[in-house]
Amino acid sequence: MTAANLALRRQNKAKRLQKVGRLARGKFVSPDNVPQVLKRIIEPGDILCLEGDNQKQADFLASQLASLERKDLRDIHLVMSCITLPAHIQLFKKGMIRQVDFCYAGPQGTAVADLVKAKKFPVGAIHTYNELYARYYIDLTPRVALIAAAQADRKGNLFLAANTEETPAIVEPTAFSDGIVFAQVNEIVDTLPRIDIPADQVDLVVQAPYPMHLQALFTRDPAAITDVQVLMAMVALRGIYEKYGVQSLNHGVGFNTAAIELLLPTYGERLGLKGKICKYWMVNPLPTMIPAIESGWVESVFAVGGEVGMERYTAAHSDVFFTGRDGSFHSNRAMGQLAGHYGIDMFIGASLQVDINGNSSTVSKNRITGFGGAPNMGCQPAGRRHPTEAWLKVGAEANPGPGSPPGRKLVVQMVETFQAGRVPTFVEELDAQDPSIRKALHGVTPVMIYGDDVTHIVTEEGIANLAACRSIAERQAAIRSVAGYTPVGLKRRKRDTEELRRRGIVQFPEDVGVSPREASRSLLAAQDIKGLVRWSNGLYDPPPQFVDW
Amino acid sequence: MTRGPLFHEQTARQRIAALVDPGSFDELLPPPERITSPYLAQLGIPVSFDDGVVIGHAKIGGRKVYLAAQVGQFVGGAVGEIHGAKLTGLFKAAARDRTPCIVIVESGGVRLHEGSAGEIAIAETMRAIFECRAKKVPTIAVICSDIGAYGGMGILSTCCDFRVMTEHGRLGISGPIVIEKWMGKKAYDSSNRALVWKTSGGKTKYLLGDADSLVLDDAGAIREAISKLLGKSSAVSLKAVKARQAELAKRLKRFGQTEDADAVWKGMGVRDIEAASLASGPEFAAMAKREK
Repeated sequence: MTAANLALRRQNKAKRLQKVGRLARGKFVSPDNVPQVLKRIIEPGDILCLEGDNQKQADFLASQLASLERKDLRDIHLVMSCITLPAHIQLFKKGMIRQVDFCYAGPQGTAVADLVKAKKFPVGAIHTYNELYARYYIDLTPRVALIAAAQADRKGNLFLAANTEETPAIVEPTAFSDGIVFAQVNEIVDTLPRIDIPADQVDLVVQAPYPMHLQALFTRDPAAITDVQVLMAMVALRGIYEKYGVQSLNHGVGFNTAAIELLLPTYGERLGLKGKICKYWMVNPLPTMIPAIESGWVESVFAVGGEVGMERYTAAHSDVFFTGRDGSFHSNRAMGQLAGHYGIDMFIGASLQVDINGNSSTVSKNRITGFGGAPNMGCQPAGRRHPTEAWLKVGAEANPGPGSPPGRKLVVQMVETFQAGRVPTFVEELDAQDPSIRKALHGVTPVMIYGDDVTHIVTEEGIANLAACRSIAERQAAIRSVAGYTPVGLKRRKRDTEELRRRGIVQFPEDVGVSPREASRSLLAAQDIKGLVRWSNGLYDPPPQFVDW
Repeated sequence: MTRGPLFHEQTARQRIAALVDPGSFDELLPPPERITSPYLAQLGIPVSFDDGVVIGHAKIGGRKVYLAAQVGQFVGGAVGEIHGAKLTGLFKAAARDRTPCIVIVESGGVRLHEGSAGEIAIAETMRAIFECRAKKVPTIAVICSDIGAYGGMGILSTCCDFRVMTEHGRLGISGPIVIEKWMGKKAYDSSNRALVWKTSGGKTKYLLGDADSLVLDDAGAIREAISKLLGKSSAVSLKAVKARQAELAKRLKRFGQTEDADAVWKGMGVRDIEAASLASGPEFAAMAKREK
């Protein structure tokens, strides 16, 4: 009996790197040789991971990959968190992809919907971020990973700068399973500010001819916040933050939550809430948080990614932000999502559609976006055991049975009843339930946050406390009560609404001590981007498209 | 930290209410009289019961003033026949009663749908303004909104004795999009907001002497600036006009070939461009004064 050879992958990796031969000098590949190198290190049937978050993109490697043809590269199982670039779409159009598993397709959502219609998008599943990273360690371990870093040194150590994001979550499973890690970097230097990925986990490096694409995804101009959003923010502050004593939280990236951040140093201060709420954050370095940070509201912020223009500000506030020894900002998407799952009192975010059961989705027939990270945070973590004041308080309202945990995380959907263009947010049935979408996704409806997980819905009409509802019928009545003049809202029955209001399940602004007459932009701590720069004492450098001075 | 509402975000009627003594405003030709544009109606375009401008009289610090505020939300505050006639009448009344007249400008100029009527109305209003000035009746333009004062309203604003501006306000003849259309995006990129405000914004206009005061974007500050100017007037004499023309010729010679907006600031003595960009209106005015 001969011993089975269980180290074939290692031998195969050595063979692939051998084929690269003179195309690389040590680990270093010149940009012109990248297509040839990709042809030699990727084999049909491979699981290939292409780094692309919603912010940071291995865009040079993606474009070189897309410059190949089906004869060079086929039968690829693509795994990646975000389908963001036109180059990503090319891979499908050229028929190179056998299967794709991903999380999010923001800017390419329309292109993805077109690919689905043309039956050129063989999707395994749409995931949440941590779900996909988890599978990198189980059944979707990459054979080759194409990643992006800010700098490499001569040994191939990598510095990831502010946007560490998901690089470690890709590199570790790849490097420790004899996969090939190929990094594009902005520059090659003698000494790195800090080492984020050690050289022995990196096989190949190319200095890209242009710096990697970084999107200013989390910058919200306070000038675009409306009075209605201020009203909703006041209602949320009184009816949820104050009521439950929310200490730790995640904010979405919309204008609704930006309004809350900008109300803390003004309205929040007046309510005497400083030091009582909003101390610990799992959120990217949002420029709209600057006034609250400067006013001493914020103890700490951990982030899944950086934000363009916040580099100097975060470096100067290392008591609040996580920073490396060199002083520069540090992020980590996998750990941030984990923190947002288990460690916080509240997730609050917006959505495009909410159905009558409280399910929400951003998918429409013509635009397939996917999930990203919101469901990792906008859910009840069944494995949570530690209590906090807010967790127990919501738990008590939810009246748990003998077989459920005593607490609940606050999962709040904050939406205006109508989207831009008079499109109702509240619907009887989600667009995501469209049969063609369900078919492409193997029978699964792409729901962002499930109604069972949602504890509250906030609209300009008021708050619906879904956690306190005792039946599905009651939950539906509560949602209709705050759905305003949408078709869903117009079906409410006055008697139901009054009964729910009497029991505190539905609360209008006046029920939580908010006067709509007072809701005005003038309550915001900063009214425009320039105001944020002033609050930052000149440390915030907004991207050019936001500068008007 | 809570402050009053930002003046540039307020509506015309809110602005008047915030500037004048409480309850002292009497609107002339108010919306219930429904004096609307006949031209827009003919074109099937919605009309407005005030035709985009609010006029009347009020008191500021107990002193009677005539007052107009343009409504930027209605056709960009553009001047049509009715709108223009209201302005003309207001300045004529000011000259007749020897009462100061203030116009809160928010307009891209003449309304294209009634171009000739609008142009004539602007010319008639200018004549009425000079009637005031000949009688030493103070006329003040307040320019403090993103729409600013362009086209005919830019000209009309510079005919007044004084201009009060905020950093949000803009003053010019041709608007940014028009310049870009005729000169090309290379010469002037209207989507470059920093460039637009550096060339026609309140700070630059103050540096060049086109604005007489540069104040906070706040009704109280604007009211204070107006109060200081109510007792004054600037002479219209041949000598004054010639001096102004010489000044403009000098400016053209000095900055006419400049392609860099910052160079104008530097040329006018602003040393730290970045700090000056971030400074508020009054801070900027103080910096400019110190360095002159």
